[in-house]
Amino acid sequence: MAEKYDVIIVGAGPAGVSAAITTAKNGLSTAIIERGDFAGSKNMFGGIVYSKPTAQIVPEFWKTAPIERRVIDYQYWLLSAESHVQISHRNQKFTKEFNSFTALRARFDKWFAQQAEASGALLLTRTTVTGVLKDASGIIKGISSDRGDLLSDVVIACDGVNSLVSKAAGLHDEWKPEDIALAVKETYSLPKEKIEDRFNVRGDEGVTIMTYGGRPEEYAGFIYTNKDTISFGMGAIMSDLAAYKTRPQDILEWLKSHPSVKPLIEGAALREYTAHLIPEGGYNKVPPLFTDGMMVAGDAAMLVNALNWEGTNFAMMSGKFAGETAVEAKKADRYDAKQLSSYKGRLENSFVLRDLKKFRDIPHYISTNRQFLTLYPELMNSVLYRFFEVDGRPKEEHLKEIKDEIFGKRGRLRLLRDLYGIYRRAA
Amino acid sequence: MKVIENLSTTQAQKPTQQGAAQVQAPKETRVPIEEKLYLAKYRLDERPHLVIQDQDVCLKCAAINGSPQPCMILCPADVYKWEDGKKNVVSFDNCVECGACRIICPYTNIEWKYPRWGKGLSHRYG
Repeated sequence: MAEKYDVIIVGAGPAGVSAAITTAKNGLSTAIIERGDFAGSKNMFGGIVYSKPTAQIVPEFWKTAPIERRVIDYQYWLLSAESHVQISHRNQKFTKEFNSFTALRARFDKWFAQQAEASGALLLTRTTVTGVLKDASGIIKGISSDRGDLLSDVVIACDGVNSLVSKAAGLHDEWKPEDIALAVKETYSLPKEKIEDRFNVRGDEGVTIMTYGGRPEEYAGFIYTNKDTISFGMGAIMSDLAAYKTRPQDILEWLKSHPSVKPLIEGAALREYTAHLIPEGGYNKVPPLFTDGMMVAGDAAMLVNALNWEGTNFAMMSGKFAGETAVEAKKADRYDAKQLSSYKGRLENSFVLRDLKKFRDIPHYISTNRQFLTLYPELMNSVLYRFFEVDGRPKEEHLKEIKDEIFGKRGRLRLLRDLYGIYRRAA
Repeated sequence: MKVIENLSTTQAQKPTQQGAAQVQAPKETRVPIEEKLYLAKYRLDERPHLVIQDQDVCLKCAAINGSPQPCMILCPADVYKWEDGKKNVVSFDNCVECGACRIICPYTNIEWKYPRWGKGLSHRYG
């Protein structure tokens, strides 16, 4: 007879650990099954963890968690071939009220899982879940793994973007390449002083840089400053890579050799190269979130706000809500889909599904209106070049050239339509 | 208005090879993936976790999509190689377990599992 727990959670990432902390603290016997050597060893992100959602799981986590730098400066770069236009916000408020911290998954998740263990959850590592167990009436009653079966009243699938568990449960079949970004990331070591100099920060202050434009593919680049490393990478929509026959590492190399980016990373030693998928389909593509005896949280449920670069907090909050729903189900001693449907209600009442719903049409709109990816970043660079250029000619001529270029490359009507298109979907 | 939107949509989705060619990184900056992957920590599961179900399907894919096929283009660890124009050779020991090949294969011809007992890649940074 297999061992039985109140809750089995698949995956010790931010969603799974948040669920486990919630159920274990409420007295439910909780097992987290993690395939990696340790929690975090299979995980990868940009990235940053947002302070306020994380503090809802572990109050004042920054006092003990292995965080890297507190972000005081958020930058967006719109690239052209050899230039960029920068929109950024640096604020001393971020030094007093923490908004986010840069982190490294292999370190942060390891610590995070220890908090679940301290709450009473059991963490089983080096165990790969291979399927779900169902009773005669089709209700999920546990999982099968390469180390044997485990039974539970409820399973919470937090097994990430590939979610073989929700596929085994029949919740969804397979993602579409146009809804998934393939991200490749390189971690570089660089002495603290060099990071401070290159990014104009002091102490534990940090910077995030997102880059767009300069390429025909729908991609976004990222640079995050850690204590003595830099996280550098990019994510591109898979169907775009296939259509343009572009290898993901080609965009990464292109970005690294861009004259605006190169000096930031130059001379730093590569420490790690890895890749990961990001589910970016948004609200319209979120699969069923629960079934008899099971809930799905985090990346496994496509709960990522790609527009605002938020995924970890969506994972944590959805994990917490799944945990709360499991606690409620235990009290009622019912685990059918109807009982677990309050999980979706919790998500709908929070930023998780509200944000995704709000911006539901933007991913498709951007993908099918390529002028936002290529033409507008290019135009902004060109316009600002002309604006700053001093060549002895009257400014009137410069202004006329700027106007001619904008309206030549994108007619007045189309420009207005684009503005309205974004406004209607975002405001 | 509707008609214009449809038109611009179809135009926009057509990739231009010219556009892609303009933005290639200089050749000398390309570091072979093998030189990056050696930094990773691996525990190898000797049983392949990635299996091509039918090599004939890869041949058909090459005829339709050209070679390199989508799996070979997208795989960030160069796991898939088209050998002698007829065989998709899978270096599963390079795999970083991202899942891109499984999703991009137009014919769902890749049997994709995680390595057993959590073997495979282990991040130090992540």
